[in-house]
Order: sequence, then structure tokens, then C-alpha cells
Amino acid sequence: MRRTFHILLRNPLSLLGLGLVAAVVLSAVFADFIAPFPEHRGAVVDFANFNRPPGWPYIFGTDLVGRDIFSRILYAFRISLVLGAVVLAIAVPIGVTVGLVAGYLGGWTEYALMRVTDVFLSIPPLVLAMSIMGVLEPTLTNGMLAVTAMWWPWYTRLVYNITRAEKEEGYVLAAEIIGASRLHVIFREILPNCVPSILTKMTLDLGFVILIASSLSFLGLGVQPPTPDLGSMVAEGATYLPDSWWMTVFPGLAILVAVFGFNLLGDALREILGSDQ
Amino acid sequence: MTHLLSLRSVSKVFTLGSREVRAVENVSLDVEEGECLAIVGESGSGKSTVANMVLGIYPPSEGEVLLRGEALPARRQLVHRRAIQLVQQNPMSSLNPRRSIGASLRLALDVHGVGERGQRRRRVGELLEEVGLPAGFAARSPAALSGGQRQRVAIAAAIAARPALLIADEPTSALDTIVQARIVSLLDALVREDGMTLLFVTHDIALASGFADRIAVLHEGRLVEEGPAADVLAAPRDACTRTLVAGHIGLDTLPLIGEAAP
Amino acid sequence: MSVPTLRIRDLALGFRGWAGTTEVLHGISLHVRQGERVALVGESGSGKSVTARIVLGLLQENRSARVSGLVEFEGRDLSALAARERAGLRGTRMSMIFQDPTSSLNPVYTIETQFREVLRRGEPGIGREEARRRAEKALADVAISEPGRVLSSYSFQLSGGMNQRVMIAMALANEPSLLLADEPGTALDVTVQAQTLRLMRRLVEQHNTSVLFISHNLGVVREFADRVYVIYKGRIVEHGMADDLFADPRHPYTRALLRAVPRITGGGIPEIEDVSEDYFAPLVVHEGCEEPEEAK
Repeated sequence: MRRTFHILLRNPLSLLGLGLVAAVVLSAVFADFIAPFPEHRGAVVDFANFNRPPGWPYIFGTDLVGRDIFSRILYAFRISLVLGAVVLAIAVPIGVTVGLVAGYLGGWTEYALMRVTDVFLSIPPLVLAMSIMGVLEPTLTNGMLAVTAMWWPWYTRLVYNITRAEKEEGYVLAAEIIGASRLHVIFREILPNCVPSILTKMTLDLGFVILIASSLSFLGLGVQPPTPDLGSMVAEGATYLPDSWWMTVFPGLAILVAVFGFNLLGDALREILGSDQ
Repeated sequence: MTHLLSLRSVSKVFTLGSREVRAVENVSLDVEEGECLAIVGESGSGKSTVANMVLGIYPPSEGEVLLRGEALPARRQLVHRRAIQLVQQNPMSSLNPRRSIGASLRLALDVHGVGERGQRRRRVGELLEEVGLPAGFAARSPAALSGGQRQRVAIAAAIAARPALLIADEPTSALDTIVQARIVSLLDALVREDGMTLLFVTHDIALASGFADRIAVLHEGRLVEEGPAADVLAAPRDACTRTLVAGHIGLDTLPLIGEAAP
Repeated sequence: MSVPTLRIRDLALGFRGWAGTTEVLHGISLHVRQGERVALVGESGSGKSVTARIVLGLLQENRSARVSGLVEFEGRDLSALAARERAGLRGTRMSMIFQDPTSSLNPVYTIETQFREVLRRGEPGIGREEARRRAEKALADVAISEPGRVLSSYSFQLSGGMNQRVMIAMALANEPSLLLADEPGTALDVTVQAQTLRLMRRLVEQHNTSVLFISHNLGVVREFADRVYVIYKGRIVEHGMADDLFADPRHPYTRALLRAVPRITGGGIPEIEDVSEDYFAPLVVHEGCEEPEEAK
């Protein structure tokens, strides 16, 4: 633990990352208490206060129907993090398992699994998500499904590469000689050595999922109104630039802050977990 | 009387692209129960390949490996695994860095069902003490241990299920002089006290001379000499053996370099 | 008495980490005179390898390293030199050969390219033809029969023994006054090792190079060194002429070390302690081996 603190303190960027991520997470968790207008996350209209520039009590201004942008951003964080968590909760186990099995067993299993993975990897992520969304109804669930489908192969590739290297290490041979089952070797010997890389990638991915989800909503897919989403907010506000600049700029900055924060934290995590000696 | 281990005309061919490498050529060897046989040779002599075939890492291309008179299959069963165990050369990679020492030691006990489940934790502590380490090391991670200590753990893991045959593949090559002597001393004690059979693979014939009962010399895949240790060292019959003995740079031999510049 | 090529006095080294400072060297003193072959013998963690790196000035680049004490090369205090001057000494006045020859050579460049780089350090304006000629001669000196072919090769195409000889040739190419050798020959087969050592000895005698030889292999040290320092956990524990030390080891650690060396004459397994309080006994110096006093 001391080592963790030392690494964090040594690099100011790590602290910044930690701070930004903490801000995003706390906003999401405590949105009900922090948001000045919690009801604005729903289908509320207040035409008396619409299109107001940043001021009091609307810190980031209001949108076209009078909703407080600051409050909506806090709830949008919540949606984004939930989306990210669910996507990763499904994509990571799938991707990791495929990578481990392909990397360790080799032969036809490896060939078949990795070619399937390659197919998914070869399609540009956003195009794949859009195709899926185009076929299915544009709901939040389907949005998550689409993002998950394009996410798992990256974990497969990551874990596959590590597994292929670790497979040659002495401790794997030792376990095999002792007579451990293949299941044990894969999940109890090799997997723990993949965990640092997986965790680091997951942290970075939370930022990227936010970005991808925002891109989807920007295109009209994914999260539907009135649910607040950073991408949708940017899209709605884009047509009113540069006059009502606050409607686009603040959600955009929110995306920046979240992605940047997760990136920095991911780097710090890589350093903490990677150098374990 | 059946030998514990027998190699009958064993050969191994590796195909690298279009090339064929004959790593081991027609080696026949017997190992008796309770003895210590040293397999000595330079790099490329095939000694590790022989060890790997005994371990079942890959099957021989020709010939067979017999354990107590029965041929060992290419796919080893659990009972075979229990009988033959390995101490590897590199102590830095033979322990899983993400698992505690205790977890690594328990593996053999769990896999082979040694003792009562509740007793295994205690057994791990006893194993550590058997190899000269404090029982408390079970909680540590390998990174906290030195090369010599890790090698002791590796030995403990190898003997945990009381194998009939222990193969040590250059277990001390990566270790310092004093540590090396201690590890050799430990292996020797384990063999003598527990009646385990030891197959010791090394490039250092002097190291083998200290404690081996018999020495087998391999050169370029072939068995060139074999016999009681004292005989092989005192009166080597084969030229390769003589080269190994002559090339040894030690404290008990005449200086090799000599005073006059050649 | 002439100035020793290398003089180290009370050299201490610590590494500052998150758990405090780890002391690695506790004030060691040693010297190497011109043309002498001095061995620094110890096991892993004794501090012998970091000593060589301190002499070269490589260790000081590590941010967490705390170095104190005197390191004098040909009478000049190295810590008083500017970083650039110090770097200028490397490869020219002092050079080093490493444990694993194949990994110490860059696999993406030919031997010739690397040789030229070395020669350029000693003679910045040297031409390609001249460099090739000198490289060929240097390789012939280390008993390489086809220098031309070796020069055009890459390190992974050559055997370990060949690479070791190439490395020795490169280290001696600029006629350094001091050669540091870190476990040379350890990575080689027994038969090649003796050959390589014989070669090294002939060359350093020829060029009158001083050698600081770091090893854990006592047999090799006995063959090669004139004078020996034994180092244990960052302290010099015994110092004597090679013949004296091997004939009459006085420090408990030295004795244990000598007993631990495998003997081909058999004799069973030596009884030695892994760690013992006796190993911390104070320094024993054999006759005729005192450190040179301050020249001032």
C-alpha cells in the first residue's frame, strides 16, 4: 500500500487522474444530492427559463426546454458509468476466457477462436455498433449490447498475447508436471498473471465506453431522450453554436474530463500493478 | 529385479522448418531405486532432452521410457505424474509470481490428494522446514525470496507428493557457489534419508563428482560413457569425458592457463 | 611508487526507495596498479557488480543511487569530472566486458558497424577503410581465423565463444589503461571458457592493461588474478595476493567459499553455513597488500 501511495504522489498526473475520476464517480453516485435540479433528468419543461446562459442558479446554463445542464451532466455521468460497468461486466469475462483458452490450448482451438476474434476486430467499432443498432430498436439495452459485441475481442487479443508468453514460463511447466488439470493451469496459474493488464485496460476502457456511447447518441442511436447523455447533449446543442455555446461546450468538456481522468488513472494503475517487485 | 527407470534405445528428433535435429540418438540407460545418477554433458549434448522425455514433456521419436518395467504413455496419467517430479534450472521463473509460496506448495498436495484437506496447511509448513526454510514463508510471494531460497521452495514443491524419481535439471547453474553447495547438500540429504531416486542433470562434472553414485556422459545426443562416479572420473575411457574433466577449472586441478603465454 | 590506475577509498552506495535507504556498499577500498590483474570475488548481492558500474560512472545515472567515497582513475578524482568528460573515458581509457556476450552485442547491427563505433570513440575522424583494417587486426589478435566473415556477421549468427572474443577485441581496441570484466566466460561452455581466459591473459599482458575482474568463480580467479579482494555483503573481508589467499585463506567467509567449490577429486559434500555471524568478521589483509596512502 505504501508503494501505491509513493507512486501516486511521485507523479502529479496520477493524482490528477485520481481526482478527476473521483469527481466523476462521486457525481454519478450522489447526483440526487448534488444536482440543484434533480427532476431535470426526466421529461421536464420549463419554458420560462429556457436557453439561459451560465449564471445563477443554472451554473452551466439551460437547454432549449429549460432544463439545467449541470444537473443533466451529473445524471449523464451516472448513465455512462452504468453503461460502462455493464458492458465491461459482460465483455471482459467473455474476451478473457476466449483469449486464455485460445492461447493455452493452441492447435485448432486457437485457430478457430482467434479467427472469429479477428472478424470482430476487423470491423471498425463504431460501424459495427451502428449496424447492430440499425437492425435493433434504438434502446439503451440494445445500445449496451452493440457496444459489448465490439468490446470483447480487445480483451481476447490482450489476454491471448500474455497467455502465449506465460505458457512458456517455468511455473506453468511446474504445474503441468505436478499434474494440475488444464482448467487449473489456465484459470489459477495464467489468469492471475493477466490481471494487472486486464485491470489497467478496464480502467482505460471506462473512459472509452463513455466516448463510444456518446458517439452513438450523437448519431441518434443509443440512449434516447429524455434520458440525459453527454453525446446527445452535445448533438442537440451543436446546431445552436455559437450563440448558445453552453449547450455543447459543457457536455463536451464533461466527456473530456471523464475520458482524460480515466486515461491518467489507467496509466497510474499500470505502473502500480505492473512493477510488482 | 526391475530398474526404477529404464530408457531403451531412446531417440528424439526435432523438426525445425525443413531441418531435422537429432537431439538424442539411441540412448539406453537404467536407473536403480535409491541411487543418484548424474547426466553430464555440455550444452547441446541432449541431456535436458533426455530429462524432458522422462518427464513426459514430449515423447521419444524412437524407443521407450519404462517406469518399473512398464512403458510410459505419451499422455501421462496422474499416477505417473506423482512418480516423477522436476526441479528446474531457473528459480526466478519456476514459481508463479502471482501466487504465494504456500499456494504453490499446496498444489501438489491438492492434485494428488496427499493427506487430509485440513492438514495440508500444516504439511506445507513442514515441507518448508524440511528444505531449511521457516514455515512462515508460506505467506510470502516469490519476489521476496532470493534465488537460493526459491530453489529450496521448488525442491519442496517437487518432493511434496513424495515422488519415486526426482529429476533436477541444472538446479544450481543459476546460483552462487556457497548457495550451490547448500542446495546440493540438501538434495543429497533428501535422497539418502528418504530413499528417493535422483537424476541430476548438469554440465559441471565436478559438481556431479561430489555426490553422484553413477555418472552418464552425453555428447551430441549420444551416451558416450557410463559407470560408477569414481571410475568415470579417475579413468575416463571416452575422449569427451576426458575433455570435460580436463576443462574443469577448479581449485584442485593444475592451472589450465599456465604461466608462459602460449 | 607510481600512481595506481584505479584507486577506490571508502566507497559507499545506497539506494533510496519508498521503504527507506538500502545500503549496498559499506565503504570499500581497493586499488589496481598498472598491468595488474585484480579480482573482486563475491556472490550475488555482495556489491561486486555495482562497484564496476560506479567506476564507469554508469550507476550514478540512477536517480535513486547515493554514492559517496573516492574513486580515482590514473590519479584523477572521477567525481570531480564533468559528466561529459567522464563519459569520454568510457570505451577509450577504461572499458568493460560483460557476462553474456551475445546479449551485450546489438543484434541489429553487424559486428563491423559496432566495431567502427567503438573505434570512433577513440579516434573520432577514423575512416571506414581504416576502421575495417584495424577491426580485422583486432579480431585476428583474439584468434579469430576469418575476421572478414565475422565482421559482416550479426551477433546471433556467431557462437557464444566467438561473441566473447569479439567483445574482448572491442574492449581492447582503443588500448584502455583499465579493463573491467564482469564474470567473463560464465555463459560459456567449460572448454571454451579456458580458451577465452588464456586469450584474455595474453592480451592484457601484451598491452599492459590493468584489469579489475569480477567473479564468483574461484577456480577462474585462481587462474587469472594476481591479487584478490573478497567481498561479502558490501564489505571487503579479505585481501591478498592470489597465491597467498588460496593457499592460506584466513577469513571465515573466504574459507567457506573455497570449501564450496566443487572438486573433481570428489570428497563428498562440503559442510558450509548459508549465513553465519562469522562472515561478518573484520577485514583480513595478507602481507604486502596494504592500500596505497594518499598521494597528497
